[in-house]
Amino acid sequence: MKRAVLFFGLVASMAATVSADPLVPAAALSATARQSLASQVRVDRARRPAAYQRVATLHGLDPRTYRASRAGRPTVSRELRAMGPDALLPMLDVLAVSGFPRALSDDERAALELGVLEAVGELRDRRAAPALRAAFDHARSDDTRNAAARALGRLGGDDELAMLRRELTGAHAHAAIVGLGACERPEALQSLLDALSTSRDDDTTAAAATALSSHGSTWAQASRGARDTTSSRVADALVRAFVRSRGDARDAVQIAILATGAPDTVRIIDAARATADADTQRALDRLRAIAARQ
Amino acid sequence: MVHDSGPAPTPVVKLVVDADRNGDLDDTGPDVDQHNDWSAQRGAMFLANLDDDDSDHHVDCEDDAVNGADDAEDLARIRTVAWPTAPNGAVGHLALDAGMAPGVRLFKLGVDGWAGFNPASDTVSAEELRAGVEFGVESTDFPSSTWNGQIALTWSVTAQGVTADADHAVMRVAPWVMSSSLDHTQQIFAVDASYPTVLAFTNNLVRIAEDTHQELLLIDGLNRAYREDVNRGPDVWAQDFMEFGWTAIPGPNSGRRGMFVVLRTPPATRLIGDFTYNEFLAPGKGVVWKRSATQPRGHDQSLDSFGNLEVIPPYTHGDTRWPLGRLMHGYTPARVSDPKLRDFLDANPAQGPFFRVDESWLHVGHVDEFLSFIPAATPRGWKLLVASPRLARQNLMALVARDPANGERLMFRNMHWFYPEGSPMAGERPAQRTVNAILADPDLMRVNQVAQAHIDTTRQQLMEETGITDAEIIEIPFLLWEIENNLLAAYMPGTVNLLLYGNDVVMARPHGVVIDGVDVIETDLIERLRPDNINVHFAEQWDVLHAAEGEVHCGTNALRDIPTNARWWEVTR
Repeated sequence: MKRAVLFFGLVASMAATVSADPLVPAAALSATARQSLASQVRVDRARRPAAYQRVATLHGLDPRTYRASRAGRPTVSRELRAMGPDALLPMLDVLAVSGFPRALSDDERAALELGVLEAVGELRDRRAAPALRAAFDHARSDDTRNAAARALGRLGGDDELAMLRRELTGAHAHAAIVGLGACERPEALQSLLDALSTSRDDDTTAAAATALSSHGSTWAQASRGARDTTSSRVADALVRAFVRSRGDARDAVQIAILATGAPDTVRIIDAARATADADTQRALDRLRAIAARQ
Repeated sequence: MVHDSGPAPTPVVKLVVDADRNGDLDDTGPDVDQHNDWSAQRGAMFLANLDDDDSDHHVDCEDDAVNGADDAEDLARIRTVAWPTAPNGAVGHLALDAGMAPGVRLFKLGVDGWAGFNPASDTVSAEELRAGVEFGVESTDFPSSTWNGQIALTWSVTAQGVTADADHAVMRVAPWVMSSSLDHTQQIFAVDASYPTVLAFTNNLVRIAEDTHQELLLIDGLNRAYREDVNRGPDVWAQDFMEFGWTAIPGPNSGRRGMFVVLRTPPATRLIGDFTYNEFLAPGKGVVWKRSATQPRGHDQSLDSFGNLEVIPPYTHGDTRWPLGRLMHGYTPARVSDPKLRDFLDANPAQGPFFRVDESWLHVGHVDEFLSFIPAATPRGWKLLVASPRLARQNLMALVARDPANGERLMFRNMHWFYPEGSPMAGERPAQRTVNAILADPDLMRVNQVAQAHIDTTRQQLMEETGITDAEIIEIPFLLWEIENNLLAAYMPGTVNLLLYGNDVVMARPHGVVIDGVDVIETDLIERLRPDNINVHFAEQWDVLHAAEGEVHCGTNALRDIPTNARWWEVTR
């Protein structure tokens, strides 16, 4: 056992010395935050080198694995999520301190960014907050920014909520909407309802609708054993948005309505139908036919 | 009698083509007099000559020769009516207007057999005019957005300095027709390799095929030619690299002439796709391959796989008839398949334009992940199977309601998520989970409600498209989960993704809750399909297929007979 620990320690220390860029630029974190995280990682790595080894050898980044999968592209999100809290600091190390210990293709790096952010987000650990904020600010793709936003939403602290609400009028409004969709706080729900009702473009409508369905999901609420307090309110807002929107935005809103599954969806649709024009009535009729089967 | 002097004999300028579609060239009737247009009722046809009758491992139309007697049978015939009194020096010209066709070839049958005929330079002699001459025509390709498959022939004769009024005929190339899963099956396919995970599936399949008297061909997945890298395992996705179909024109005695034609998946880097040329191409078995030189923004190679190409079985709805069914393919503006592939599918006069499915919510992105079909004793002759997370959730809840102790029973007992063969971490990620834990997972439940919304929307679209009713739709219960970025795949084995042949289906073994030695999900599926006389067979494929985001349909393929009602020419829009 001692020999194994020594071996892994040697490997881990070797891995730590391999040059690799963290997924988030070094300058993205404050010096204090970076030093604090680096210090935690250093201590943790010495104590639990195997956890770092597991993250360093993700099978979803192995071409033998991902080229054998039907999608044919790298993915590590599920693999990292399955590692649980043990992988938090190793993932933050990859994200914001040491990076990944080998060169990655563009697809592999994108998969790693996404996977780390999704897995870190699922852990809801406040130690991740500075790195997640940095990832949001410096994301190289919409997918990555959205993943960082969701992770921040899941953290759901006052700082994260305030930041996401501020970003609704900033350069990354859609990512902010995504993040608020993952935030279980009632203020987040209200912000999304406001964003939907005031939306002037299809993309914002679609994003807000999708985010709202997360809040309203009756299946998710039931799984928590919680009383359904949001689905009708969400469905009502979504049906009004359905009436207002067209094309792809309307399609996204339809999905959101159905994905919410409010028990009075049909009644809400019927009420909206009463004052809709003929084209919208036909669209509502189609939606009603689907909703009635739920 | 040949006239060289005196009044010029009245020229006979007539083409004969199979305009009445009886498989023969008749000397009277539409074949002679009504061949200047093309419709569902009348007009001659020819074939894309894509098989390999001389077994030289090249598609026959790649060269400008007729490769033997069998290849000659693939030529549609054109004949000129004999002009016995053609004077010496009379000359016949057969002009060809093939529009934007990539390649149409003419051949002439002479005393020495078939030879290429170049309409720009070759002519027909007086001697040939007197006896009548026979031509053959083939295409090198199927219709596309730039060529509707039609050619125009102009036959003219010049004698004694006078060119008589020409005769015109049009012909159309037969399209590629994709086989429906309801068509009778000749042979099923899977990829084999000496890996325990692969053998666990293929051994099952061998047994099932034997029990059902179905011919099975196992493709060698370890063939070096089919692997990018010797360190990589086999490409097991037999559904994805090839799609079987056929092409045919009328033959003698109200039959048909044609060939099977397999469509190869677009990416050249999908090496196992070369199975189509290396091992399938043969007499009567052709290959077509559509691929773009460059890919557009948003291209996802996964969508070029043929789990993402299916056929809605034949239907009539309102004024629209699809007697050979309609192609079904998934893509969205933001996530697209190869444009040449889509062009080919859309231009199909028998089964296109394809019915577009929104599969953007799926990680792999294939229509077969949540839709399939079975034969049924209904006026339509088939039923739609749809994935149903709703039903899966209801069934699990009912299980617990029946007896709370069922909530602690395990799903996926002793199963693990995928690692490549020989990985030291193989088996480390156990998949088993209690029913209660599954039902109490809010993220899992939330994404399944989203999945159900998408499935229900597509279901409604199919109902509006085909006229199918709720009574003709069977829900197949299984849950999905998020792989990454809100993109989903089957969490419980996706049993709707099945192999159908006749009244037999092969499905993924669901590894559900076992009570008194019986898997309750297996029992449910058997009973669910029993009213339609479907025999359900379960195959073990968790490691090789399910854990790699696929199921039985993804890992198999089927060569099916050309249907007896293969009258694509009667399809109208």
